[in-house]
Amino acid sequence: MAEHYPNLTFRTDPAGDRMFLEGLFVLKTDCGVSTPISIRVEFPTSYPDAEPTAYDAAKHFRPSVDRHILSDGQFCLWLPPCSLWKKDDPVRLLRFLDEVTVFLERQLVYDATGAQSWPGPQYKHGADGYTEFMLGILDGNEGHLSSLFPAILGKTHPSRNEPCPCGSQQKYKRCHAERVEAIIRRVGRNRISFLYLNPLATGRASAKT
Amino acid sequence: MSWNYDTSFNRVKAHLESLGEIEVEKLVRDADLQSLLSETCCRDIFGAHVYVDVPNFADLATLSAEGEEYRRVIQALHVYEREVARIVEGQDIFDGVRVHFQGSKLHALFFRPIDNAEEIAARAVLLQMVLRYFVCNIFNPEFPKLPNLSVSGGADIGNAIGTKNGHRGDRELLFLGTPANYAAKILTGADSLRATTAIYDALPGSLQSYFTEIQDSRLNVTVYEMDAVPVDEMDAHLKEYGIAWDPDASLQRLKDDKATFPLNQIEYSDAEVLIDLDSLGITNNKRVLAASVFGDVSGFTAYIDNAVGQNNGMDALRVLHAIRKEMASIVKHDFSGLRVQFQGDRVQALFHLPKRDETSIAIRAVDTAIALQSSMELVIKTLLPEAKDLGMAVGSSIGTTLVSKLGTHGHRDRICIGDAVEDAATIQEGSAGGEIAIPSHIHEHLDEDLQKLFIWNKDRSVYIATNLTQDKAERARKAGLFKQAVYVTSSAGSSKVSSQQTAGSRSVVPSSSFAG
Repeated sequence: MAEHYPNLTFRTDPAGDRMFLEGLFVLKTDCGVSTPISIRVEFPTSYPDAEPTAYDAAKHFRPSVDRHILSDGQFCLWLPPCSLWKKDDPVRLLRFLDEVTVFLERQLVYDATGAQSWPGPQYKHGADGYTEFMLGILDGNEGHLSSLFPAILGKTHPSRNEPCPCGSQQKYKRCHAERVEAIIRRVGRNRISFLYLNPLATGRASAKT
Repeated sequence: MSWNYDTSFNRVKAHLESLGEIEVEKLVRDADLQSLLSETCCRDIFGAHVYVDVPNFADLATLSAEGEEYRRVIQALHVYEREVARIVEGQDIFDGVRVHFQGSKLHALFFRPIDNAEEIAARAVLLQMVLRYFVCNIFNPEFPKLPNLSVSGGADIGNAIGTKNGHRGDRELLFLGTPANYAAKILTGADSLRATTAIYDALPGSLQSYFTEIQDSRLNVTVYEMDAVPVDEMDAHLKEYGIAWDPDASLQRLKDDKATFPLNQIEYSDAEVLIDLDSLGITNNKRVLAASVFGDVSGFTAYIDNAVGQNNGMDALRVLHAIRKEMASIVKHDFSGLRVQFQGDRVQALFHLPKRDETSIAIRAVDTAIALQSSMELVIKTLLPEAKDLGMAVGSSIGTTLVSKLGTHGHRDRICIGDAVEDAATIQEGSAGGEIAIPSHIHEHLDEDLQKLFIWNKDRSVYIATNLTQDKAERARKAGLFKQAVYVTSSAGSSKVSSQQTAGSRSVVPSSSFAG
């Protein structure tokens, strides 16, 4: 990591129980112009089981959901269920920093194009993003999402041998059971409850339930 | 062909290191400015700056049919400028300084007698008067096959810094300060001769009586427009100031020049390779499809006026020479264009290759414009923090252009003339620092990603990009990059993201970003 990102330094907080990586990411163009961006990477206490979080330390960019930076400067690199963090990867931190580099380059491209549209793929904001993710697992079939949503929310618990709630007449275990389990496993019951059962989260979830 | 930050940075640094000690002193006695002035020997000169243009020449150079008609236009332009130069510079006539011709537009300076505002102002307006008479009554009848030409003039008086650029064999007088700038600004392009309030106030009552006060709504200032002047009154004023201009002698010289340079000896052609401007002349002209680019240092006039007022003229000139040299390097070395002229703090460039390839020419002009912005914003302001309030205003247009070198032996001007040249200059003059302005017929040749960076301004009927530097242009072209894997390369403490895999690069598939 030091070889590829020499401007970053490990630090600990005064209490000594949290670790940070701080310093400059310097992005360069073909024409030789360098843009230094001050970054802080925070490591959770459960690191490396849980992934680190990167922040715009000097507020180089104005935070907004459209550019995937939260109000505290945190970079939303990916939808949590889609995290590329692999705790057992020996070069996991280098890969993470490369992801940050690409994210920063996308920020600069976003600015260069007049902040009109985010370059590259993105999920919608908030609960809509998770809905999009779930639709992705369900091959984009909104009807299936609608009919399986009570099971995803945990409001119903279809038996594996009963007909699938999607209406296919196939047994649930041969139809959508695994995909529903994958959604629950990757998104997490707590997050699903928060997003779709919390009346403050989104109106759409309320309409669905 | 491209701009590079490190190259530009090192060039500007080298320019600054090679600049000698600049001296700026008030001009207190008569001098031959061509010999006296240099890059480092500069003078604060009180004088009247006069511009007189014949706007018709641009149309003629663009629209005239090939063959004899076009050769006639070239002949007319050459003999016009030869005679006007004699009128301006003749010791017995106006005894002024011919700064240069910008196309068909004369820039002249009167500074003698030293600090004598009345006589200097009088010479300035009398020159305008004489040239109008000359064109209407002497020149036009000698070229009956051309449409009647008319003149447009502007004059201002005050202090301006005189200096010179430093290129061997190519040294041009440069004047920086309000009067040099304003005299050109008040030109209308129509049949009118104008003077600023400063000139008018310096004139004797007998000459003031020929002027009508008007409001220029474009500039929001009061200017004075010259009425028709009876020729006998003009002659009386010329005699009063010892200006021995003889219309009959002018006519004879015109006839002699036409005989010396008959139509059948005037050649023009397209250009297969980069034009050698110094090889051009009345018998060797170029008619090419070309893009003109004007890059002006916005805010410089106010900056140098202020600097001189605080006895800091040398610092301002150091900034000017660094910027000027870098502009020339960009045009010539980075984009293989022609640096036609410096006009004060403005560079005029021309791009005509590949021959008749309008798309490539347009792209090269815009790339040059972006490079000029890049050097100003990213290099000049870093190396010269005192330039922080300056900007680069760029305008461009493309069309048929006559390229030549005109004048008398020993003092010839490189000229480009045509509607596209006029349009580019007008577009630049209407632009603010940080802007690149282009017409739709240049915009349509750009790639889609670059097109999107230019916004249509319906008031000015141009596309404008603001603060567009090379790094932004490159990034704008990367908008579609992140749909597939990209490659991160680290080197010397920095990282690059590109679509190309290179040795040591690391592949990253861009994730679908999200904001919770």
